[in-house]
Amino acid sequence: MDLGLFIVVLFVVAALMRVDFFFYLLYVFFAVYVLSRLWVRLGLRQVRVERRAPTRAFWGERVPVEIEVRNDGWLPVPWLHIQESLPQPLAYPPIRTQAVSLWPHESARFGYELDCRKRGYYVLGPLRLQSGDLLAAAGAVSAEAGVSHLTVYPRLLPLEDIGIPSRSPYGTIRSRHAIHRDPASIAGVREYQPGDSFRHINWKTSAAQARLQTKVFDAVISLDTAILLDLEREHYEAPYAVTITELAISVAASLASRLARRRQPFSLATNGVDPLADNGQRGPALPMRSGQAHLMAALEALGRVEARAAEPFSELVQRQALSLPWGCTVLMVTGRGDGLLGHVIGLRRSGFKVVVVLTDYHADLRATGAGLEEAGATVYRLRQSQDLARVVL
Amino acid sequence: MSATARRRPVRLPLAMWWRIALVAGMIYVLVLTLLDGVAAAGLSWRGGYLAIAAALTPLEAYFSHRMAKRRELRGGELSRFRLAEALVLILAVTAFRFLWQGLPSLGGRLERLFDLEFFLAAGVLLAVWQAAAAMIRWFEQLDFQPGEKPPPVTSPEYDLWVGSRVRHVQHTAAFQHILTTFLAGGVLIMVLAGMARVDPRAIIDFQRGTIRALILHVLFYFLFGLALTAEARLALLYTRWQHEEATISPAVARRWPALVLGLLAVAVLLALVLPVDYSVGFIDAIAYALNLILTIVVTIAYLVMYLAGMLLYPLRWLMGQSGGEPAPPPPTFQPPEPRPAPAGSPPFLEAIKTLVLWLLALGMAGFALYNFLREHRAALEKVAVLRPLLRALASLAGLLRALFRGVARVGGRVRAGLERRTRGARAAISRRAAGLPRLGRMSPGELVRYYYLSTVRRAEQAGFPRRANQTPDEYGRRLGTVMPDLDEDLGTLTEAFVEVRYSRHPVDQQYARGIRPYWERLRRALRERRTGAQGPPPSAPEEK
Repeated sequence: MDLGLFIVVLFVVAALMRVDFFFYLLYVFFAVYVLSRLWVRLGLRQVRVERRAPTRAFWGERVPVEIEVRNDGWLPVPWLHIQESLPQPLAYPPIRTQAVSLWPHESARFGYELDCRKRGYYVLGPLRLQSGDLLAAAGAVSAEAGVSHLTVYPRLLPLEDIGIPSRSPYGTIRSRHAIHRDPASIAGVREYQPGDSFRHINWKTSAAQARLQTKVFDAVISLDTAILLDLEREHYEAPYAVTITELAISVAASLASRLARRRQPFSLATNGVDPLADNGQRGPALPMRSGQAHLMAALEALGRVEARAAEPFSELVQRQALSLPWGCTVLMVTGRGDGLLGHVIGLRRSGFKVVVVLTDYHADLRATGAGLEEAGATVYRLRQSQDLARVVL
Repeated sequence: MSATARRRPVRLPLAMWWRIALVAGMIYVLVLTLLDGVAAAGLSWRGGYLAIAAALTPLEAYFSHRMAKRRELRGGELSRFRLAEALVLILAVTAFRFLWQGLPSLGGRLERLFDLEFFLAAGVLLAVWQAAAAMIRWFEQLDFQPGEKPPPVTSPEYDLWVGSRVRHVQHTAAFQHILTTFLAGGVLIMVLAGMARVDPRAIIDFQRGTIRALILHVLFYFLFGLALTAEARLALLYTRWQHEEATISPAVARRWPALVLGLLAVAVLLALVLPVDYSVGFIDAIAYALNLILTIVVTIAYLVMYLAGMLLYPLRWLMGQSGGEPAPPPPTFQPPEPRPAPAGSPPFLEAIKTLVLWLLALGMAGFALYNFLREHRAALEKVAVLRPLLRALASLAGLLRALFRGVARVGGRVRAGLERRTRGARAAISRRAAGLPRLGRMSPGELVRYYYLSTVRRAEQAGFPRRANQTPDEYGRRLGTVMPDLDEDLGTLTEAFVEVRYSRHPVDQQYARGIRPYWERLRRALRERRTGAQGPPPSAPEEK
């Protein structure tokens, strides 16, 4: 029997018997019936939820998340069932539940930790709240609090471990063409010639030789590096595509990190899908910059990007080639390197240095690699190691 | 059955003690009420022993349930066990009866033991024993059992768990059974208590008032029952949360009794301020109310007739003068005689109290019924007999909703109108406070500018804003298309403004005075447009 039906029966009995006490009972039960319904609705309406969680995390970090549930109203909340949904790769079980009771203006806190061992753009929540009454006179009422987002950066790998030399091919190299002179690197001195800057006179040597001597600097050409990451599934061996694309993302992040550490400018573009992009037609692309903030932006983009192609890699290369600065190094991270030969030849002809990192260590890359090398690209093949196996796990 | 299992003593958890005590209390007051009813029917029955024996049945039911479960009794074995248990209970209650009442004189005839009281007591005892056993079973089903937690899907125990009985325990159904039993018992105890106090012939006598009586048995029954419901509800919630492996704050259980008491206290306080008794019968109260309404209507009719007579009196007087007859006297107001009240006329307040009580009770029952039908509509629609009733109720609800919506709409309009007026008044006050432009102190050029700019502001308020890229002429032309009757006035005012604003020569007072009538007409027309009323067509400008 339902409490509502009982009230109807109670009315009938009270109306027939007409004992005043029965009317009291009717009123009491009706008041319980109505107050319970009102209480449940109003009670949940006054509950506020706040989730405190970082928005970014490095691979391998343990991130604490704190949830505060606050009763801002004047009515107590007899029970509140809180259910937080979590991303499965970061937490198991992927649901955290809590049952609390809140007096007016009381708050309850609880927390959990996320084990960030898989890069990605994750949604924390939604947080579902459910409340009800004390005597089952009213049904439970639910509400949903908002979600937060967490970007886990890709794992940064020591490049030597995966078979890429840590110095070349990118970096500041000496050049025979004096495009820039590096005042920090003095090659020697020579006789002063009219027109030389007074700031470049080496006064000590001039005094020793009793003739003005001018410093001669090393001629350098600072190579900008454009990292192009291929996330087209067809360019990776089918059974391992998920693992290897993750590895490719990690490699791109590691290269970007190395460049940033050497204070070299780099740009980043990928054909993977950015979940935050409005149109989803193109992957994230960062302009040529240097510095820590730029690296963080790159790691965030690589942490967020989904390993599926928004556009063909060849289109990305073509588009990016139009905006690359002259003389820069184009560093392509891809799986097997399918269909890259034409682009490598074109880029080389345009004066770019081309480096290709082939990450699909399952595939036989000898023929592809040799072809690309013949076209003038420096090719690196990732070697399979135990460490690699842990990259995406 | 293992020997260790047989030797292990049955322990009663604290929560189960509490539940058994509550069920025992409910059964005790229920049986006492039954005995009251029997006594009211004129039968002498010293049945106190039965109430005590009945109150002990939940405890017995708990232990026997645990025993049967431990011995894993099933089917015929369990039936034999229950039969033996019932026989023992009947023998025990009979023995208790003789202890309570003393041994009867059998005179060597054993069949005298099996009198009406024996059968009645045995019947009542077996009924409450069954109810108590069911309650104990439901309470056990309500609680979370460790075996309910599923093992990992990959473990070999998983298949066993899928087929286990514990997996299929219906916690919510158990709670519903407990609640239903409590409420059904509540109806039964009220009927029994009512029958013990009200003459059956008086039940259909709607001319009698209420009986004042505080029935403690009923009060205690509901107190125990509500405590049991609260306990069961908490147990059900705990079970659900344990299923989900939720972290449960100890504050939930700690605060539960206080919150239940708080809710009941508020409910009782509300109930105390509402009328519960009356001395006037329902029918009499309705008759009284109808009589009152009729008297008021007749009085109003008399008043209308009197006023009409007063209005016609001068005419009658004039006609009387022309005929040479003396003028008739003016009419006098004679209120109607109130209808004779029925014998034992009820006082006004008592009748109102009666009506209020019945309206309140009817409203509450109606609201509860409406919610019940709404919440159980799907289930009720499966019953063919109820379908037309449900359809009729749905139509009624639709009508009421439409009525409420209509009333709300009208209310909203009235409120919006009032707000608009209040806003207008406030704006006027603030304009006044900010200082109205003093036209008398303005130069002629400033006056003309003011006339134009204030017209633009009023036009904006009326819904014709000026765009930033519009020249005065363009704006004037556009305004003229929507207000063709004011086209000439607009043209003149715009021309004057352009002259004052962009020419180098000054304008005199005469010029500004000449523009004023155009401005006034525009102002009036725009104000009327803003308030929604279309004003009369403007007249030609006055010559100055």
